[in-house]
Amino acid sequence: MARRRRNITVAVSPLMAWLQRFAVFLLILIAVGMLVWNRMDARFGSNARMLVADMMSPFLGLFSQSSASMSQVTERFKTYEELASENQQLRADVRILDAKAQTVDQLIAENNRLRRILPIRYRTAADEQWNWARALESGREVGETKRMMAFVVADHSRRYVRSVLINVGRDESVRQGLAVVNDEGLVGRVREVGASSARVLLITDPNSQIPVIIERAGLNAFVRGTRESAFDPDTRRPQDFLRVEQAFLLPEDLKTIEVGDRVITSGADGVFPSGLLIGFVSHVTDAEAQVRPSVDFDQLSDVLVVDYPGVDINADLIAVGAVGFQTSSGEN
Amino acid sequence: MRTILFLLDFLIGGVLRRVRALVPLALFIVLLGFDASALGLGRGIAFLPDFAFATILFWLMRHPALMPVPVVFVVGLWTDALLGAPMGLSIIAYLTVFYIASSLRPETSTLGFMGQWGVATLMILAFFACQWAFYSAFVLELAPPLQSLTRAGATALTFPLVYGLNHLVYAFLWGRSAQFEDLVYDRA
Repeated sequence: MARRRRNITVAVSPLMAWLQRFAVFLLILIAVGMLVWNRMDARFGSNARMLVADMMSPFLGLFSQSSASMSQVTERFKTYEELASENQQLRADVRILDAKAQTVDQLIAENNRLRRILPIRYRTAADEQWNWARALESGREVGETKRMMAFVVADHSRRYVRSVLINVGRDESVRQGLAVVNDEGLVGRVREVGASSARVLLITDPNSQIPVIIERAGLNAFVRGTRESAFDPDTRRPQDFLRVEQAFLLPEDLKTIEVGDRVITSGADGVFPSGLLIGFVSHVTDAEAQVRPSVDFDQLSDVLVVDYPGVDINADLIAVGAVGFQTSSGEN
Repeated sequence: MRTILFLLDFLIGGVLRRVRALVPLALFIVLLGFDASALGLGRGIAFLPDFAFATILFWLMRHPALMPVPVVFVVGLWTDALLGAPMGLSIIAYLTVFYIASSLRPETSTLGFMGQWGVATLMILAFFACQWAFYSAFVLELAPPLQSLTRAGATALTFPLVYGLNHLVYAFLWGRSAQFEDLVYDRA
């Protein structure tokens, strides 16, 4: 019996070896097929990705928290001179912020008063219809903006696809397409949603294209992420940049853009609210204009997912920046 | 420690002995989780070695019976899913390394440590080059290669450390005394 089994094993082993080798090529072919399918349909594999992300999210959060704690510990080891100069700088900042907060309070009060007097302004009739439908669906008041605080648990901003994973998902009513901001400006938008986590496509990813207004020049344009970096003399380190799309500009339009111009969302796509800060023009030539994002993607930790129902929320977001994630409705 | 585990395993009918084959995979999942989490390194991520891949490479080179091709496929799939990369990208890279490792096995098994490190460096380069090439093909433009090169260098430099640690794990779970315990257990 044992000899017969050994004979079978001897006969089958070359076949098994050949099959194993063949299996590698077959699986590589399957993987190439998956890649091609993913190229044609970006949603391919989305469920698998979010399933794994949901499973790993608490675990990733643990690592991220430990790393944040380590950074806090190293932050404490500072020289007296560094602390003194930082203290002085912070005092100056507090004075400036105090002054700004007073202005912001006035603006919010004025804005609320005007909103009570005037009907909410919509960009188009379709926008208004969409907004009402959304409000009915969610049971919220028209114009109410819902915000959710989230923490970045996985950072892929320096990998091939520039994205981050946050610790809120479908369970917290996060949906695809929602805007994600922090106190520095626009971070990106929700691309994939799992039960307890969501993947955010950063504005620096080449797949991200946003309609913007270049404020001083009053130009409507589109900016797109790039995979490139440029040396920034202010911070003395390489910085990501976005590129102003040429296709929507006339050659003379570029001449009106200047370095330092503020770039904000125009809201024309109905995805992002208008007025969110994207960054500042950092480089202009006859051929192109580059925008340096206002958000420091290397230090991304807590963000705000904004469920925008289609109305202008500029004042609220100014408040977000000024008073640290507090909102007019008191939500966090 | 080992005696406690052995007794525990004996009591629960040899389950621990059967699931120890999953230890390399568990190590990989933990290390990939560490790699993917928000460590606040920013651009410094380029200098962070890919410990998860280095661990798989050790088991592919030294103990291939524990890394059959379906497991390698799942490892690639898991990597793509967790890192949010296009599905298939890491699978291709892992399977390519699997193929190179299995083709070179007769030669590498007789090499000393330095020789194995040299072969591992080649495979690390092949892994990152594969990812970079297929990603460039995926987006239809050349992705900047510098980060991949830096990570490949960092992974190759730290490979002896990963090798040593994984070797300790193997010695603990499958070492000579563990084999003796297997014998005792089987007889019992």
